[in-house]
Amino acid sequence: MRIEQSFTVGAPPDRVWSLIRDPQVMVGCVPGCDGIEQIDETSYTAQVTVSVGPIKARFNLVIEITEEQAPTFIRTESRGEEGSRASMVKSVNEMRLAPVDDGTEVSYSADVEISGRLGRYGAGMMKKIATKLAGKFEESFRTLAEAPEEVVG
Amino acid sequence: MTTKTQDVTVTVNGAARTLACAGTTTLLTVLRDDLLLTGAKRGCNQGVCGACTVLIDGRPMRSCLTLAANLDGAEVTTVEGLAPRGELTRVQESLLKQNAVQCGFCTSGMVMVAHDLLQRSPDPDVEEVRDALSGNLCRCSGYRALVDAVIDAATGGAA
Amino acid sequence: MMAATFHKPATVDDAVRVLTDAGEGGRPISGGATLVAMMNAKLVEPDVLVSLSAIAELKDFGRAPDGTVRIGAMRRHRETAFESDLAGGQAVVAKAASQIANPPVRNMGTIGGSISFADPAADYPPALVAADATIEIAGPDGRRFVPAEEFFLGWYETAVEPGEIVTAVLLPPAPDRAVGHYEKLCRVAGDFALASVALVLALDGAGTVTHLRLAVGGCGGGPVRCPEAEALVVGAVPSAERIAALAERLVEDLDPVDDSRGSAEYRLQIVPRLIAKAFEEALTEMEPAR
Repeated sequence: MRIEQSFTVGAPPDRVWSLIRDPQVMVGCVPGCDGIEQIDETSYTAQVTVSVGPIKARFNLVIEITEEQAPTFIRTESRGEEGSRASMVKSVNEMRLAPVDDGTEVSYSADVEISGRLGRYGAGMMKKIATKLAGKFEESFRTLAEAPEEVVG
Repeated sequence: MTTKTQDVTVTVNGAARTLACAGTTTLLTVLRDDLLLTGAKRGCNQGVCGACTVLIDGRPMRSCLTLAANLDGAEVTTVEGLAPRGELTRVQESLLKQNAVQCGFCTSGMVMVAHDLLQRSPDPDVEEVRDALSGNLCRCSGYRALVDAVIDAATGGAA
Repeated sequence: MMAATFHKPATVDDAVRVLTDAGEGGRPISGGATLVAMMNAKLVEPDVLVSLSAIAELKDFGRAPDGTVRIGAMRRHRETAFESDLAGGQAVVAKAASQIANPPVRNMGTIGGSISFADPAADYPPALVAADATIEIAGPDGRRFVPAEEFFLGWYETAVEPGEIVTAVLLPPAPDRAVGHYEKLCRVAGDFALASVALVLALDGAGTVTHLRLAVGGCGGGPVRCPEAEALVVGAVPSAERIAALAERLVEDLDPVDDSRGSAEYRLQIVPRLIAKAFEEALTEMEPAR
């Protein structure tokens, strides 16, 4: 399934970029994420929990930055599975930043493949759930990016 | 009670049975694997097909969705317990007479819901019969004969 | 399947305590119609199961002197479907219960279990919103009450927090002479709804709408109600044109999915027809009294 969204943040692209490239910021903004560790220059591991009804799937993800043009474009590929391999996920993600009058327009897309127990919900439903999670990300990210810089540290 | 297996006393087809079952064991598993009552069938194991239907405290329910550990003190009737050994119920007689059995996999579940219907509504119309059987799937698609057979059982062949 | 510890507490407080102690691996189990199916498919593997079936309080049905009905969380769909005390506007809940799945599943499933699972296409959620129900939830800090409209948070998410259980559904008295109706479209008998419409409607002697609450199921993460759309009919005679205008406005708020039951587009097209049918049925039911 493909998810495409865009939102505007009241902060300049350079600042938005530095936040997006900060793993600790991402841990705070990605719903269900409780840790990101850098492996090398371009790869990370992350733990993300996705809950759908009574199913709670904790994914161990490997995220690879495959292309990067600071401060306007980043492309990542991630793949991962639950500890018990009950669900697997694979995605290709792109994010573009563009200056606009009142800050930065962030557009992103993700091509996601889910299989296993979470795959049972069907693509239509999973897309709605993913879009809802994306909305939560936007909200947290915007709050952080628009806060006075010294507070963010 | 907090142990990993429960001692549960259930009356099955009139006889009290004490069973040690794990928290997640279903009644269907107990019936088929422990008590060797294989009339109730394991079809979808999701409560959709109806092949595992039995009577619990007098009501048709899915044995595949019923945890055995939850049944202490309950009364269970399976297709084996509807009529004395070697005899058939009116519904079973009619199913035979109307050739309403093809592969037979859904039959025991159908018998249970039809039996229950006639207990509560001795003279049902076609709509009532269809509603009563609506939760039981027949992949041979013999629904017409099944409905006819239940009506026939109700009227004693007069219809 | 792994072995789970099985508990059968006799009180709500004990159930909440065991569930809270169990943490993430704990699950309350009521009728089993959904949870055991998911366990059989290995979609969920609880460590601790807390059966609610020995808690007498949860099996009660009662009516308070002010007309508020209290349906215990462990009431089976069959019991609610045949509850003769659910009349007038409150009958919308009984009518929804009567259309859930099939008779054997209605013998098992409970109202508390169904709304806690909160399938977006389930029958109770729109009916409870139309009936202006309140959900009673018990947790470590006691009971709290959440309006149905704030209970269903969308796509299997509810206001129930870990360690909490739904203990009852409360239905306020509907206005005098109100009628409740539930209209459901599904592909085959017993299936979840492609879409459904629940409404509670009351008219005055002149045939003017004095009360209307309408909610749509199966067309979003949770039931969808649109007061702005209802306002197009309230205070007026419910003509076909006004009902169509209501439907047109409400459809803007729907967010259906494409799935194996039908496309989102199809759902958007059938909802106005279900709304028209629901009004027709409710108005017909009122006729002898008017």
